[in-house]
Amino acid sequence: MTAGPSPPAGLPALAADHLCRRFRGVTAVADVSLRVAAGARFGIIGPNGAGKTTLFNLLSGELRPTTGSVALFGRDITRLRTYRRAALGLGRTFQITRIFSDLTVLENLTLALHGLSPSKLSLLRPWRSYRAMTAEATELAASFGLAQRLAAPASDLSHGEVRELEVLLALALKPRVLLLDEPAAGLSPAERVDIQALLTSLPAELTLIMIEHDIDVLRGVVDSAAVLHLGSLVVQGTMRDIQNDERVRELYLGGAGSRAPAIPPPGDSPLDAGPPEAGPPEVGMAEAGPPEASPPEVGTADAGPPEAGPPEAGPPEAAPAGGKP
Amino acid sequence: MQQFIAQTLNGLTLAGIIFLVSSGFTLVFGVMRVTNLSHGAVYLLGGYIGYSVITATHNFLYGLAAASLAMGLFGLLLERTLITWLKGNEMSELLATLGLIYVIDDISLAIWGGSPLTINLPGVLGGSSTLPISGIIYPNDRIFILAVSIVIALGLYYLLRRTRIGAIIRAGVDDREMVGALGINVRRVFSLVFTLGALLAGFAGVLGGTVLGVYTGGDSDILLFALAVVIIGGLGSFEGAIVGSLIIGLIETYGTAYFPAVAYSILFIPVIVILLVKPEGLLGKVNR
Amino acid sequence: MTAGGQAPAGRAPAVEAQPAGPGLPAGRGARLALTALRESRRFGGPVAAVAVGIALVLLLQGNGFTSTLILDMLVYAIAAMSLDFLGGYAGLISLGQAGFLGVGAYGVAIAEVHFFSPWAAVGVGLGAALVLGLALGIVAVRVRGVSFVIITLAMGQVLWGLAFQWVGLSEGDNGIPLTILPSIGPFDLNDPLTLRITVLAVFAVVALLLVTLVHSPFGLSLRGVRSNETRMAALGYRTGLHCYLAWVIAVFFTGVAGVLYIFVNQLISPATMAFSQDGLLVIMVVLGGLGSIWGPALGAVVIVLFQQELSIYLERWQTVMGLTLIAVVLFSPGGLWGLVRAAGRRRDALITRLEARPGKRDGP
Repeated sequence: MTAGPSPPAGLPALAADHLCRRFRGVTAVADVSLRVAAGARFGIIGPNGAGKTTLFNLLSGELRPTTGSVALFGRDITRLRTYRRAALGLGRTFQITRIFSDLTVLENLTLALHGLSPSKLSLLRPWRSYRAMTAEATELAASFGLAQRLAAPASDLSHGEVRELEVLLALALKPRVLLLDEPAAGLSPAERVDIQALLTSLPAELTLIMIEHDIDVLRGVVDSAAVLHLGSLVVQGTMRDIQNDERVRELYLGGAGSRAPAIPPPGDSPLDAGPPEAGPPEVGMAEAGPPEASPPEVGTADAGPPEAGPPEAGPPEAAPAGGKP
Repeated sequence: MQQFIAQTLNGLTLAGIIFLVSSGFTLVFGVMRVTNLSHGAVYLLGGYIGYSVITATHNFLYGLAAASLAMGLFGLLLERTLITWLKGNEMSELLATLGLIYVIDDISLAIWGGSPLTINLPGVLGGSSTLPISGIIYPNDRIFILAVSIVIALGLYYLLRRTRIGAIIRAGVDDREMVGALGINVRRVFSLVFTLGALLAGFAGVLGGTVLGVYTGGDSDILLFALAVVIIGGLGSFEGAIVGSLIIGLIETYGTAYFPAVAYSILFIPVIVILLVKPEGLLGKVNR
Repeated sequence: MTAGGQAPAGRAPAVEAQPAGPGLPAGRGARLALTALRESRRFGGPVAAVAVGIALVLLLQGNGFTSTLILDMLVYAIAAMSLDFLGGYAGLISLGQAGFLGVGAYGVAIAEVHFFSPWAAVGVGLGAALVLGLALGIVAVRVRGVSFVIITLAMGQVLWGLAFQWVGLSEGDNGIPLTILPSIGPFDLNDPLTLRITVLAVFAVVALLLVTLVHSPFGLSLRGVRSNETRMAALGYRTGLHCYLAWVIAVFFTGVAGVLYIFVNQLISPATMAFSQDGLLVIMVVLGGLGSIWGPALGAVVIVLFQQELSIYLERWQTVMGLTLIAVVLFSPGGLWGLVRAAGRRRDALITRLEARPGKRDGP
């Protein structure tokens, strides 16, 4: 059961049109257009500060673009909030892992599995009684080696296991398009092998878009890619095209005319996922902390006028579009 | 019309006192992410201490100085102990300072009793003057408070915008980790800001004690005002504290004068509006 | 994270290997200790049952004063558990709940003043709490964390201000006494015993409902929101809606507590809604154990006891309460419930270590 009906053949899985995002004078993403075909394995590369995570935030809904649009299988999702995009089949992992550290692995997966089901608003039945969900969670965990850890609090997991759980949570939604933000970041060489195995074992119909620095992980998983620099798209094509491209060489190896900065600005580093001067788009970086710590202060990730629309809460609306049968 | 002008001046005076309290609160939050709920109690305690010193020495300035210094010291002590022990856990800091309110209130009750007290300004400040233009007679103590508040606001503005330490504080509000990475002793900045906030609150307590009185529950009242101010103006924003204080001070005064039955609740209207339209406050930034 | 806390359950310790470690008794002392610890496992339930039994007897048979004390405990336990549902599970700690308790109580009182029948008055009280919850919730759930605490504090204070200043409606500082309690057929709440049983029954129903909610997928979703709201959104959850629902539920049940409050105390005044009361509710929850749903009921018992009994012997009991909150926050953030559970885990770990001693045979 994948989320939503099958798309007409030929439509790109994900299309970005002239996406642009400005933060008070800094342009994080400048006129980026992408087309990723269904089933493709697509990479996004670029030096730190290139705007890769910001681009992802635009694609998945944590941020609204200043101009431009995003379409998922032909459907314009630019105005849709994150949870709506998830219901339409767009999954996402985060560079700084966002798992539920004070919950057990089983609870983590259960939450993910209920995410697109009307049962998430079930009030009177214990969640443990949903046997099918528990079985599915166990299966999911087992398929990627976490079966032994189901009862463990997520905070107990090793970094590699956390990264795996991060991907599993996104997979639980059975997305049609999966955005992976540096899935291998901070992993030891052994763990990288595991992650790569996980990634290559993903179903072929799933469209993958991955930000990654590690060339080996990329090469094993990705067929084509786009290179970003200072918010702009430099080149897009197959991995071979990119490796042979002049501009890319300059960028990474610093040719005579290169403008690569001596000190990388705090861009895609773990401390900051946005441009230096403006507030980072992801609220509450350190929010995976002790249970008593407060969740982000403000309800939305970025509150420019487009975000602060009419109050979100209200009488429950009908089941989200593309919901489960 | 005259009545209206007088009420407006009252509102501005109240805004001044509220500003003194809320500016400290908002800066502490902005730099340290600490929600010091005991800030109102510090204001009240300052008022009580000021009252005692003034009654004993018959010198208003001594009282003002004593209250400010005592509360500044209290703030320093608090920051170095409780706040430090809580290691940046925001909810814990909030809850612990909540507990502190009970302690301060109760001890104040034990020392000063439950009857409301008033601080009287000496000499000419105790009288009234005729204001130019409108010709209304207005109490001098309020004029004094208004003047002092403006001077301090300007002083704080200068401190924040024109001095190095001010730049550090503003940078700390924006990006604490970066400030630390620049080699600045963040711990000392914290202590400084917290102490300054408490000092301002104690100072405000004495000023407030003249026109509002020093009474049990005065801390909740001023705390509510300060909180409304930071919601409207934006948590962490100094300019927001100015704007918010003006709005709250005026609305509260007009409300009490013209709609006494619901005066307290009228405060709520700008707060709701802000929450619906711009939840992070008029001048607030989306925080990290 | 689990250093020392979790017993290494399931892993049978090698019988010949580990020494029991420093500080543990040897030989016969060890066997006695082990037996005692094991038996203590069985005590927990019976002890709690006995305590509850005593409370029940005091409630039903006791004189007016004792039973009112227990009734107050039950009323505040409902409010505290509701607050925990909102704060401990959804992560939205409200400092304005006393305001909603007051709304429930004032609703009943004001309705009766205006000649509503007692049951209709109950309807008014509950209705007012519900309507306010629905309306204010739209604004309140726009923010999280500290901002939420602040906005709920403001709400609670505004409600208190209304009770205080809108004298025409609320009789101001004097408060409104309640004379007639509702009755239905043979069940007349004006009869003390019926009232006591009713309050107890309502407490039981609300408590069970809250516990059920907590274990439901909705309850799990609240914990998810508290833990990592952005992730919840990425998983398809409409987090604002979930928070809103949790808010409405919590406010409504607090209103229920308010209705019971005025039945028990036969008077409502603004003092019940003052800021110190908001703080008291939070202290009950934190002391009992934020996020444990039952803990806050325990917290309510302790705090009501403090307030009514301790205040007689100790004039500075408010200082004690403030210091208690600070101490809990500093040393045992899980509250009393957390302490009990930590003790239980340590006992289990100790048992396992003692059982691992060389030469020890596992007895029945």
